[in-house]
Amino acid sequence: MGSPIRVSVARVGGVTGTKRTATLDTETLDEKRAAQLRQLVEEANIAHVSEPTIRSTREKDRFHFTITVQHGAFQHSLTFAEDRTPEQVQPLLEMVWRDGQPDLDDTRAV
Amino acid sequence: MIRGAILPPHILDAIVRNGTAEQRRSALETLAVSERMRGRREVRALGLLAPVPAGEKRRAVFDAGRRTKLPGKLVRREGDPDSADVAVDEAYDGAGATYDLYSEVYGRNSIDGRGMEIDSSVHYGVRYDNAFWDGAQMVYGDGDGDLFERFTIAVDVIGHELTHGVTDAEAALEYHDQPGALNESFSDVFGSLVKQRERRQTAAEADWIIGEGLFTARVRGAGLRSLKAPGTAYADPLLGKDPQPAHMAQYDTSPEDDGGVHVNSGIPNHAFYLAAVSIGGFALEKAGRIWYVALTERLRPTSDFAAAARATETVAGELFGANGPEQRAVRGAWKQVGL
Repeated sequence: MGSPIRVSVARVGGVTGTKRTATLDTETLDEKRAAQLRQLVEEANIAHVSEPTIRSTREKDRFHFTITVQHGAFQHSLTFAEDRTPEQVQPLLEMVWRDGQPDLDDTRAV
Repeated sequence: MIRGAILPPHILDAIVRNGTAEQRRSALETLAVSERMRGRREVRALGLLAPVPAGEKRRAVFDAGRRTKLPGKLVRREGDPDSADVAVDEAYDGAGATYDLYSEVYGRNSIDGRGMEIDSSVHYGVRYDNAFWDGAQMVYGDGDGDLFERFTIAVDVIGHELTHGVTDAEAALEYHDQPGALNESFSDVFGSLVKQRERRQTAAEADWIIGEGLFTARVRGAGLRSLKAPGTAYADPLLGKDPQPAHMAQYDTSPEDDGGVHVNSGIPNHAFYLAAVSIGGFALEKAGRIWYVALTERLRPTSDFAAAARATETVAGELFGANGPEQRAVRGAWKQVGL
């Protein structure tokens, strides 16, 4: 088991112009999913994606994602337009976005 | 064989240059040039096909089948009757209403001004809570069913997307910072005018809300944005609060969303609303015309809010008389938002 890893995804833009976030943390996942998260973080390798911000070429109203990985003392962020998601980042993005959303029913109870 | 929506001009050019008429015809068939390619700027520019008469809209709606490959399967062409799929019919009708606004009110023949076919894909992705312009066509998701309905449900969203195509063909406002916020604003403005024309509403009668009906009943909000009162369209525990400013003093300088193109659009949106209401009558007649001429004849890719203010003020004077009520309304509107 390595040190804790926390991955956040912020999604902005789109025609709705709304901001949504999702976060996964190895500390709050079961062993299997924590291992999966670590694996995907390694494969995404966001510290080594060539451009820190990747815009759309000609599309309008696409979402923009900022993915932030915190691993111990270090933190890296990468921002990209939906239509230019780097291939190696896609699986990590999907896992965090799918599983890391705040639970709608919890917010309704507030 | 080459598949794909856009054929590179150099390939068509080679066929035109090197082939006989027979070879050209057969090459086009081999390259699987579909009906929708007939509207493509590149194809028409090479003189391969007869020009499309003005005032005739040509729409095509595709079903992306919950995948993200575009355009998907052709399901409705111009003149076809209503389908069994409400999203298909809304995309078709909304594209028609937008085309009609541009054609009948501003004399514009489709997105590119030259009769380009208007393509829309629906059922894009799974629970996709967005609509976008991909550079050549409109694309609509089905919404997530929790917070968002299908994106074809609001005719102003359809008008918004199609207007991105118009802007690309005209001022080509760059999609970041102030030019990007202007780009967004023109889409909201003309999207609103499509809705107001459909409802036969004057500026005073209109609600000036973008995306009414898009939220499900769970969401506390009227719509995505308000041109009348930026920042008040929604306030929801999950979605947050409408972040739009109504004045330059609240301009959002954060780099997110390419410099807040969907946020800072509130400022020029509000200027349009103020001008339209001050002028009175139907917004599309005078205010809309001023904005249309500014977009198509004055603005440039790097134009900022100040340039838009100057351009619309100048155009108002040219169209309706120097120092007339229209020009004064436009000047006053921009002043009121801090420009």
